[in-house]
Amino acid sequence: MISLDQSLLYQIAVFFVLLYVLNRLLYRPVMDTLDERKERTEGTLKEAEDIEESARQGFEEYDRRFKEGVAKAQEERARIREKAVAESNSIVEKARIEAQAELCKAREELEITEKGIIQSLKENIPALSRTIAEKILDRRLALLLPVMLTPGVVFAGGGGEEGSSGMGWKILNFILLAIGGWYVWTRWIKGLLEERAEKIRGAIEEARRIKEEAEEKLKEYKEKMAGFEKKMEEVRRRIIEEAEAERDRIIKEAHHTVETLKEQARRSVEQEVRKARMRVQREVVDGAVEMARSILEENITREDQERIIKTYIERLKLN
Amino acid sequence: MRKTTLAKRYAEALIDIGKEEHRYEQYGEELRKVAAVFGTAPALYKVLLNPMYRIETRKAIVEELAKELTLSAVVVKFLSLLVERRHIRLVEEISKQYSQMEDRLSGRIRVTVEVAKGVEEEMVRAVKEKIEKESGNRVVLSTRQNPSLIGGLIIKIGNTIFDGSIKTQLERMKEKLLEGVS
Repeated sequence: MISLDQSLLYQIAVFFVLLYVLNRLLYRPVMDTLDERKERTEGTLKEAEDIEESARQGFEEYDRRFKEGVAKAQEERARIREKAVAESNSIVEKARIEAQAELCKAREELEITEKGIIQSLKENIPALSRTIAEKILDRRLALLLPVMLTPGVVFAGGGGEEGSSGMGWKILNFILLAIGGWYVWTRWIKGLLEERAEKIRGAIEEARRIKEEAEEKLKEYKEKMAGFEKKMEEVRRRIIEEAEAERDRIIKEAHHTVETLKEQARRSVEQEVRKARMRVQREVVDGAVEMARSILEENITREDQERIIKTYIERLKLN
Repeated sequence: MRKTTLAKRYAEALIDIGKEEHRYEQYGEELRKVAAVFGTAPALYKVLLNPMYRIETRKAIVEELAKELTLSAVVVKFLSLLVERRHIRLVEEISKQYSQMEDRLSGRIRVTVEVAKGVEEEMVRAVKEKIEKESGNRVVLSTRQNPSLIGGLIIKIGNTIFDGSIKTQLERMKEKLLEGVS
């Protein structure tokens, strides 16, 4: 049966003493340790995470800025190239137009010259034809004139004890409890706590290591960032140099194309001149030969015929 | 090509017989007369190659033709063989090959002379004598007029042509004048 007497006060006192002792010897160190663990582990981990996150964000930022930088440089490169291509097209088109104009001009001049020459030479056709006819007939017909062609961690603890009503028993109880507590403390809890503390130290050490790694990454990032502008400038410089080299190559090719166009135009003019010369000469020769044919048809006599046959027969060799 | 080769073999066979009998010139004359008839009447080939008619009937046609042309027995037998072997269509080519063989055998060459206008007989004789002298063969010369020649002459001996016409001289002169142009 449960009774209320002064032992209750003792129990309360023992409780508070025990509470105090446990608090001093167990809970507080444990809580301190937990706090410390939490602080040193989680804090460190959190700190490491923050640092790592910061480093990660930094790297991402680095990559982003780097890509932006490269993209801008590439855009600039594309602009340089586009400009070079436009310039190249302009150079080539201008040269093409000039060459075409030169060719047209040369053709016009050639046509005028050709007509003049033909007209001039036609005047000599009669004389040439007469010369041909005379050569064939081997006799003079009339006057002779000159001829011109050209691509997770968990922690649990706790438990309770009900005592008798005597003070002595209660003290004994307390002593036994204290001894038991001490025993349990030294045999189990201390070991566990030490083991736990060791794990926590390990965790702290791990967190520290992680933090150091994160700091290392952060440092690396900062170093990287410190050199970002320089590297970015280097990359940009290289891209721009490539673009400029490409621009130079495009412009050089354009000038080469211009030279080729000019050479083609020159050859075309030469070809036109050669063809015109052939036309003029062919026209004169055709005219002279046709006229000679008429002269011969009209002037050949029986004596000419017999003399030609006789001369041919005399020179005839069958073998 | 095969036609010419076959015609040559038939011509050789007939001329060999003619040589043995010393009558190759006569067979040649008869063959030329037969070729002339087939040349002017090609329907004769259709009849002689038509299997609707019995072979005896076709041979009888040949014999009838032989009587008309007074052909010798050897030539009639030769024509009957061509009808029997269905080679009668070769008769004109055989005649041509035979004539060439006959000319070689007789030391004779056939020459055609083209002139722009008529020339004196004396000039034709001079051409004939010159070719006979140069070839060492007897010349059978035929002349024809070709006004496009303007003047001079063209001599054809077999497949060889000797061109001394004014027309060709004008063409050569034109080529020579244009040589420097091209």
